[in-house]
Amino acid sequence: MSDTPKITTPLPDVDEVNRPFWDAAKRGEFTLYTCSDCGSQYYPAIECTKCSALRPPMSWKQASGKGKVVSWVIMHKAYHEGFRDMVPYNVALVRLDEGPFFLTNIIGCANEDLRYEMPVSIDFQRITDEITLPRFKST
Amino acid sequence: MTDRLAIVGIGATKLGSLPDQSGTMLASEAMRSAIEDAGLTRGDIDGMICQPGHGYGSAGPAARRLGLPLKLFADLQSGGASAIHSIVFASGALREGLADYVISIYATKAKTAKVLVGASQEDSGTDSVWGMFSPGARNSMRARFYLERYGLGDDTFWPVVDNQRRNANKRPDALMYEPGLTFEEYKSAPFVAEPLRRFDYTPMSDGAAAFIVTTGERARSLDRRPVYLQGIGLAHAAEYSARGGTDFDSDLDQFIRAARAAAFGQAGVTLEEIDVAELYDPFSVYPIMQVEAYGWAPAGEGSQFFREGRGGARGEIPVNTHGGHLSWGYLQGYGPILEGVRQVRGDGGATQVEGARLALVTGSGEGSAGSPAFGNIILARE
Repeated sequence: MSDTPKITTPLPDVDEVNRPFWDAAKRGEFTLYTCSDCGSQYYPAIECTKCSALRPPMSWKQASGKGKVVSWVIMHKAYHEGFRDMVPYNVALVRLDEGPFFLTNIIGCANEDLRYEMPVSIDFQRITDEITLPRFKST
Repeated sequence: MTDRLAIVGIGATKLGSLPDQSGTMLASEAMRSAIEDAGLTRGDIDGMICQPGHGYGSAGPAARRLGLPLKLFADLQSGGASAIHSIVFASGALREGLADYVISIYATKAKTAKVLVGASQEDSGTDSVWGMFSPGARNSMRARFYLERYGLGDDTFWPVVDNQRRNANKRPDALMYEPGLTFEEYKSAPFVAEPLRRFDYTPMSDGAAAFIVTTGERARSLDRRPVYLQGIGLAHAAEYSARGGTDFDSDLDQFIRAARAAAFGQAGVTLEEIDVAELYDPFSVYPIMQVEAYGWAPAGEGSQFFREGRGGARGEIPVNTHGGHLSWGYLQGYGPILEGVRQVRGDGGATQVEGARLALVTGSGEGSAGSPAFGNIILARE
């Protein structure tokens, strides 16, 4: 775990459904929304699409925190003041080993070194006392 | 067969930087043009659907300025799918006898207001946590995936930009009627969300566009020859993306194909019968993916389709004959519908497709749904 300086980028919208995810991240654990009937895993909190129950039994279960980069963009413009000093920065889409796609940033990698299907793993970054962000780094 | 609906009037203002014209002025002007085009009077318009516009909002105040005797009024926001969705809602009102003529309108002051679409000052969010903002960046994510999946270079999107600009250069009504664009200029322009550059994005503009929908029966009583709505198909990506995919993976293909099947099934026509395609293109990557999803080009060969001129004004299936969003201007889903109507009427000027009888028009947008809606319509001369 590494600390980053206090920034004013947007913080996640936390509600009753996703609070366990963010609580786990604070502890350095990466979880996915999991159907206890069939084991399918999701992110964000999507109710199991493989089961037909109106309220499938979903809960946050530990996941590997590993995956591969399937796409990325380099943001050259600041659409929010909090990112003014960070441009150009990357936003990447990681296909997790469990299946779901996870939007994140790849850290410790120059923008031009990002590669398709690059293997990555979780690296938590503490943003505030309450929020720790799951970012990813090259493995 | 149920009597088809028809579009009987279209109107648009000029596009560009129009600081002295309020959104309400622009909306009123586009609506007057559409009413005049249809050969109607203000007193005939009893339904109105607005897509609130960037830098302006709802064109509702224009209804009062024109003194319209409305029974139906609603704002509708599903981004670039709104124009097609407005036809769906107009259809309900017309078929229920709740309105006789429904006008659909979009007005924007995006240029004057210097709107940066997708910009945010919110201190919390979902994707914004990672610095992901704007439809452009989401399309850029789609674009990068496309380039990597097919092993293509970063000149892949230029043929679309070039196709649209060449068309606009022949159309005095287009925002980019005068400026040409070379590959060197395209390539040296700055990235916005890489791999997409400035000219891969639609330029912002002020302006307004409107069209009027009525029943086929009423349409035939007017002097102006109607353009019939031969088929409509809708789809939404929420289901596909929830299944664990993304809205730019093969899922995009799936939901475009679902909307296509619905529209062509209803229209009773085949892809080969389509004469001209007005494809929603706020970003250059999108028409490439659409020509593939419709089946005009094999997967991964959409760029080649445009590079070989097959989507040109004299090509096998002319695409975005007015210049599209990239060069005609960005009035959301309204630009493509207006051009589809012009083509089927034979009013396409220097980029008219000879003998065009059937036009395919698409629209796609997010609104607040968080995943894209897609709609397509088939317009017919007879």
